[in-house]
Amino acid sequence: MKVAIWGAGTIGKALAHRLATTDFISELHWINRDLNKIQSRSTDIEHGLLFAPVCRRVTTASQKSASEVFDEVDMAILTQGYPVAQGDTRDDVYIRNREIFREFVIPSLSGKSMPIVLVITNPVDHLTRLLYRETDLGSSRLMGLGTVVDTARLCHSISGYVSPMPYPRDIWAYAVGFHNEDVAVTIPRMCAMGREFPPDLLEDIKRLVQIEIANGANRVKQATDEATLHPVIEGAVHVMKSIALDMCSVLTVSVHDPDSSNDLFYSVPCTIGNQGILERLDNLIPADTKDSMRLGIENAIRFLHSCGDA
Amino acid sequence: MNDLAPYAIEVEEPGVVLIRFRSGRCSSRRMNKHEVEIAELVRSNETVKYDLSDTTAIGSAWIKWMVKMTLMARRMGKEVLCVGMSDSIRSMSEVIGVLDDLNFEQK
Repeated sequence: MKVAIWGAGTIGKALAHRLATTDFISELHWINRDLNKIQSRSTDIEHGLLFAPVCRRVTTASQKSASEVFDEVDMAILTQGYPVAQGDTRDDVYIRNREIFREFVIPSLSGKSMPIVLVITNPVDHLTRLLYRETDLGSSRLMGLGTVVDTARLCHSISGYVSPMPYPRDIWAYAVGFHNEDVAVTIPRMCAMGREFPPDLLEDIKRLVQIEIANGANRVKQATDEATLHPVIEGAVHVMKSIALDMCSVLTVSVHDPDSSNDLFYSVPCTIGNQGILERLDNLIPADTKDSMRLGIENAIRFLHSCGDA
Repeated sequence: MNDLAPYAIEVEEPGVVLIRFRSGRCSSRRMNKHEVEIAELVRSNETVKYDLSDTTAIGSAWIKWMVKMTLMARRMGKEVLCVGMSDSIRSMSEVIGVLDDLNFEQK
């Protein structure tokens, strides 16, 4: 698969290096506002291609050339924009990142139905929605990283409370809704594929895993030395792998809600394959979790109204 | 104490045992065996104390087991008590958000 990465912040840089060593990326095209910032790094990645499984080409492009790059690639990853400052919420950077998207990203995608686009820039749900409303990409080829990382943290956290301890990938639990403080978790009793999960401790464990998820998210937001962003990179790679290899993995990406008159995007479990979003699996979300997701939906509508974006 | 049992169990008095952890590292093939053994200690004693003061290496799962045992014991009207914890274990407990759910001995 040929992929474009836009942005050279912490996530953009880490993704570029990581993707060159995967077994499903054949070409990597790196776009950035400032070419000087990525040219040396790009050359270093090229120098490592002798050892790369399949990647044979790495290029750099300024954002003025983004439209041409998008004509060549199967998938684009958007990481550019202002990061969330310490003490702020993801929503606090929406207005500024919306301007960046409107000025550069949306014109570059204008009139295109390709590539498949994965948004990582925060607030991920609202920016993915913005692209849906202002481009022709459509709902199946457009997704945000959403709560993929929250789900990864959730499954790992739960695995530590299950006996015998399973692999995190063997836990069937999901973080859903908006990628912010309103994220909701669903932990089915049989989430551990039949292994013992102490039912009388379910509520305590639910509370504890939510603390662990929030701690992980706070480390990323605080951007201290302890925040490696590793799960963000791995989550994005897994989404791309599922698309490249048509794996039909179930992932909680941020997707269009077809029942929302506001075109809201938020995370539900979806199957992901080479056409992008293959299917929303709303049936995996129990009624009580849907109830708690409603609060996030109301807050999102209120926020978008306040930004003149309803 | 060896890799087969990365902790030592001492009976302090009838119904009260102390698990002294050295390392929470062991083969993943034996992790369940250790957890079953510790759970059985909770079931068969009134108080299970554990000491992580000298523990220099541990996985987050071991700390979560201690939390789980603490919660289980509380429901059974028993007690699982932490009598010591090294700074590195305390730091990991904070990172994974379980520190407040561990039952520390009041000194």
